[in-house]
Amino acid sequence: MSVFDPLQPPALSDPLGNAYKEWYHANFFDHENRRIGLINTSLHGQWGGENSQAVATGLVFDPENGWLGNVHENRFSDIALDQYGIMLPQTAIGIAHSQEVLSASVDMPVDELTVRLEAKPLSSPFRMQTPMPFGSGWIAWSAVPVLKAKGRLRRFRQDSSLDSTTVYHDHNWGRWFWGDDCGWEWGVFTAGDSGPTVVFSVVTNSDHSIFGLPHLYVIAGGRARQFVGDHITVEREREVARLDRRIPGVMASLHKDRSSPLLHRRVSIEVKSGFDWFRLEFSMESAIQLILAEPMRQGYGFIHELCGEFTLRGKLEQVELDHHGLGVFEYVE
Amino acid sequence: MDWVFLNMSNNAASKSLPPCRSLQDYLVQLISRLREADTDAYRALRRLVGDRCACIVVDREAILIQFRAGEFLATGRNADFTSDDPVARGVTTRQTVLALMNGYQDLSEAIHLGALDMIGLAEDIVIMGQAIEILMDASARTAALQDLGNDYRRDPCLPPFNGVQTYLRQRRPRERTAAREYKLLKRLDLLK
Repeated sequence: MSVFDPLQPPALSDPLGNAYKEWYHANFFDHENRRIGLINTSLHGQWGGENSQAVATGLVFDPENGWLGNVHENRFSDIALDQYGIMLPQTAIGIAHSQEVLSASVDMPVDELTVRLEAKPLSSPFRMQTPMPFGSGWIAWSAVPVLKAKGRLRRFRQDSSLDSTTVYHDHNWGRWFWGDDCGWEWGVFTAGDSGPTVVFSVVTNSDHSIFGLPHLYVIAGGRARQFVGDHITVEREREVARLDRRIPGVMASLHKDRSSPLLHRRVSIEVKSGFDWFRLEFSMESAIQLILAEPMRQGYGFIHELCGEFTLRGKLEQVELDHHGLGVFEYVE
Repeated sequence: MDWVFLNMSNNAASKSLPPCRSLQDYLVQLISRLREADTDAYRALRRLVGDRCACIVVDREAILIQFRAGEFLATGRNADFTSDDPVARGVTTRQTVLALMNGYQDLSEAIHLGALDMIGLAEDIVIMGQAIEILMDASARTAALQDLGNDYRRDPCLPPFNGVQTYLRQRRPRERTAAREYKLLKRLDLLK
């Protein structure tokens, strides 16, 4: 059985088919240059509908230049799909199923960004395939949290290697409308010394006053551990954030009132479970806002990607943890 | 450095070039596509602007726009066009429009930097802004309007966007200023 999931398109008889959402997602972490990449290929709305959208997101944060890349909206007729791939004109993510290799690319010459990536899994997947209630519908997802990549990055016509970068991949699908009373917090944190990777997630309502059950996965020393619910305590230090960029530009101009959101400057996640205790401290360095318009009716989702560094200290299965690295924290409202 | 890795992007979709269009063509297309795809938004726009007239200037192209007898009229003018009637005027450049569309410049920044001027009576300027909001909101659910935006980005007879590095550089010092401003406000306990 593959560690990767096939696409989950809606059945023709699906009564919630017009609320269809699905995406393949990948992050890469270049610890040497402190760069973080985000590649996403997503489908929104009735399958093949006239106004349904296929959205290509390709972004790289580097401390020198801020956020390179962009978000581009496409029609379903502009995309190529197969069982394990969503190929858009500007970004693509696909899986060579038989070889267990994830390929991802970004082609945004106007935005001075090109990425080619191939990554092999180093960890088992985790799957949350039982649909969770979400907005007016539901959400399900799975992830392959640790992959090792080889590839190339071109920014401002300068090439650099992505060999040995750490990659995270997930696959999300469900039925909801952007603008529903729903949101989430999610984060992936990878240590630079081939150390642990931590994945955190919790679904929320739109203003983050109600939280679902938090989940946290730690992949360390070739083993994976999962923690749920009361074992996890999250402290959030929020402030009015200055966003580095807001995209797509047309939606940013329309929602000028959302240009200074309240975001997490620091997040502290503590886990206590039996003999295991550890604390992850994430500190945000820069944030970008992605605005997703619901193509089937009036409504908008606001996704904030917070990039920064983290420390991880404590003890897991009798092994001392003392690591630092790069992380992405996603705040969706 | 070899690029031996597979380019997976579906480039076939983006190979055909859009037609060359003038500013007048783009404005006529914008309104006719809105009318066809979203009649509610089109009616809201008609009600809002009434018989007001506005002048849109992008680089050296100036177009006078107005609804008259139920029809949208877009008439070419000299870019230095002046009128005895007070006509609201939006003046900018193609590079600024692309910087806004591509998310490299913020609307307030463009106005502060003098890259986008809105000239006219306050009421007319507010209505011009509201009309643009109706168009932007409708574009979120109208593929034909998004296509027009992509055609404008890739118009083979107009210069491409070339300002990524410039705009990113402009933003960084501003961020540092913002961080200092934030620290000052926090120290003075003025953030609540």
